[in-house]
Amino acid sequence: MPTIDIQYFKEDSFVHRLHPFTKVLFEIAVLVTAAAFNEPLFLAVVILAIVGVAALSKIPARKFRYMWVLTYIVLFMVITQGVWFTSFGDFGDIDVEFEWRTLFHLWPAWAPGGPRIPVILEGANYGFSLGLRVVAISLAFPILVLTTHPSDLTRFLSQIRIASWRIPYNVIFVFTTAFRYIPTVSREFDQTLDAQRSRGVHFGGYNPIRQIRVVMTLFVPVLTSSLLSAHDLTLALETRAFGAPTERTFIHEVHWRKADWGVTALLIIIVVACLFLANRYGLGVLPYTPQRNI
Amino acid sequence: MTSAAIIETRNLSYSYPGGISALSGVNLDIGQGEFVAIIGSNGSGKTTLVKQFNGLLKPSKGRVTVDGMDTRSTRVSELSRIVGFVFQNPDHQIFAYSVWEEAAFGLKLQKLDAESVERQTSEALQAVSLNDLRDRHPRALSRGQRQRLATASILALRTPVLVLDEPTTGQDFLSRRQIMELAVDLHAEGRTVLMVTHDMALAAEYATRVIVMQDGAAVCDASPKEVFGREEILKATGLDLPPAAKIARGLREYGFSDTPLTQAELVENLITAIRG
Amino acid sequence: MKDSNVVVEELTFFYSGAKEPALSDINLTFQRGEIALLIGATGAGKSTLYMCLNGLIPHLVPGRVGGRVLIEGTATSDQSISALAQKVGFVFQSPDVQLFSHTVREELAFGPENLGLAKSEILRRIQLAATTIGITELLEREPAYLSGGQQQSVAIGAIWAMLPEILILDEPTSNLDPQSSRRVLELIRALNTEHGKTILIAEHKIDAAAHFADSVLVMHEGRIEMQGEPRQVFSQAEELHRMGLVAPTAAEVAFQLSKYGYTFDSWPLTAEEGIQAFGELL
Repeated sequence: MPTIDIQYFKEDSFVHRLHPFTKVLFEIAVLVTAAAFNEPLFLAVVILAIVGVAALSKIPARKFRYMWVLTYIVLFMVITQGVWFTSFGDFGDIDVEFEWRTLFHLWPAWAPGGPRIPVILEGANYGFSLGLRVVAISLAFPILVLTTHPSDLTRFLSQIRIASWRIPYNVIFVFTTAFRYIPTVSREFDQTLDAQRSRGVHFGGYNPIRQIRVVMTLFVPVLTSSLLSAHDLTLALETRAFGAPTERTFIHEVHWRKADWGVTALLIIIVVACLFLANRYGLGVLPYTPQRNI
Repeated sequence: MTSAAIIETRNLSYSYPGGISALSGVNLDIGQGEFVAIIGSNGSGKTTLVKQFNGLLKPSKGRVTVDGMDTRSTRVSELSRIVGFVFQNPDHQIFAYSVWEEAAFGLKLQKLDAESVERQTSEALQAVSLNDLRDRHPRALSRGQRQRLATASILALRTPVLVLDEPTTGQDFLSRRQIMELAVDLHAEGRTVLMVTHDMALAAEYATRVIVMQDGAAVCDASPKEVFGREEILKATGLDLPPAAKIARGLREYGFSDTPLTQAELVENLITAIRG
Repeated sequence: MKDSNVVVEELTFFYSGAKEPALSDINLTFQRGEIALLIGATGAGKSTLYMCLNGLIPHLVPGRVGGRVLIEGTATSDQSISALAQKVGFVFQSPDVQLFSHTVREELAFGPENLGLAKSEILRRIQLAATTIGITELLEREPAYLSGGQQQSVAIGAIWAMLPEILILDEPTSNLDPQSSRRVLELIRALNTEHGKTILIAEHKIDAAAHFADSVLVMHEGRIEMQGEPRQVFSQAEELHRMGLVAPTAAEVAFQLSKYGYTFDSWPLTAEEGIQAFGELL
């Protein structure tokens, strides 16, 4: 079973030392550049850059192992766009001479009846680029959480203010404390797994109905004990003056360093350059980009 | 009472993924019909050891045989017919919507006929005095009752070996006594009982054999009398003498020569000594 | 009345919807610096009593309350939970639910931060709690990965940083091995003898805890059935048995011997006292 393990990974790297805000800027930069291009080659460069940042942060590759699930998303995009791209896309002033190339037909020629369902190369290519955008964003997002100590994240979130509005502390607490309970819940999961296997429950096998029943024997106890602990946690928080009417103090500090200025400047230059190239010169943008997406 | 070994470990070593060694070179023969207490401080390897007995963990080196089957080549679901395992926290297993369903679950997995399922489940629930509550939702039970329900779900399987992991932790005196009386009855029926515990009084009172674990090795394996007579071992492992034995030990200065382990034995020995 | 910081008067409590009271007619007084041992079977009402002392009842838990609880002279109903949190510290049975921070340092800082204290004051309190409890070397560790004994010490430290005068501990050693249990109990005793805190501790391991209590409270079905000095309470083994409880081993042995007509000037509680008392008979 692929486990999604996005907890803070302790390491001393350049990326770890950056201010959380700089890392949030990085996430935004990835979002913007990935949206600017839709030529697979350009997106591949963006993904390579993200992989470079991940390598710089010394996060072991196994932390990203669950990403293979994205293959299915990419595949799904390629096929659906390949089939429906031309029927639903609004291509505006695209040259009427433009010729769509059919890769193959889903319904083979020798089979009787039915529409033949052509898969269009340009559509598949466009779908591929959409898939790569998802890959880029999914790859970049965990880097923030993996390289930022939850205390830094808490402090950073508590400092955000828009006019006089701030994120309420209890929201921040729930968000950052969730990570703290990953080991607890996974321990509970293991203990439940042991208990049920000891009663003769066999996990694995191919009968789907049986598997659903078997999975219930895991999820019901884990969910119940998580809910019970959550109840006890609220009592524990109350006895530690959580939500006292006074303004909360934070003793933890996060520092903005010179490197953060440098990285921020670099990110802005990259983003502006990408937007310029894409919008002005159409670089990295497919000639058959639909004006309205389906 | 003791006959052929039902569980054998030969040169058993185990390391957790990541390389932390938890057991090293353990050789044990658990005979049919024994009542074994496994004691040791936290992290000494007690629980890791008993998890080898039903295949939840498989040896890294050496081997474990349960009723002649090598645990490495046998499924846990197969071994669970020989070794029943009662865990410390019942809430890690209870998932069904009625007491009866919960207790019958393991039997249904074994695809027994309905009549046998009904008979064995009712018997198990009776043994823990929960048969009157068979239609209740498990969440409506008290913590002590849930512990007994978890025990019943294992009893129903009628396994020749029972492992009790910390059976009395966090239990009050009454529930503790109920659980132990049940264990004594099962032992009297000829089943093998293995109990992991921190409670020295429990080991002294009920076990016929005590295994002391320290740093992943079985450092002492003998009768309760012998184990609790060897103070250097207890001291080295951070364990206590059972309270009654502690008093008897101090009374040696006053010429008291008996070595009782339980409160009842101490009282009996004292009366004889005072009168004599 | 001397200097008493906890006074409970005719306290009765019904959980909402319950027909039977969870607590009935409780009267209690703790002197400043007293250490009281609370015993009772599961379901006797111990947890409900704690919640009344730290204000979770009536502020958070719905139900019907009769009588009143005074902490440092003020009724709990007239104080907020966060104000009470600075007077009454509560340590839970299981460390896992009460340690929710990412480092021990933050765990200790959590309460004082919520109170909005000055940063220098919070740092001072972290230092104070860490040295008093003896967890200075754990400050940067992650609570989730500590041993049970260390976790329980951190939980006590986190309460200590709030500087409460009264500490309630709910079976703090029930998940610990003998060695860690001994350490935690010694720590709790030191907090009482060296720092003068008022302590209420519930404990099943009475052999280890009976001797250092100033008083013992016995709860049964929502009532306080017995109350007094340990020697006085534990000499009534028959009463305790009726409520599904036991006395420490030495006291139980003395009780059995008393059936044969042997008498004791001072009822033994600890192994040492037992050795002396029974030795004299030999």
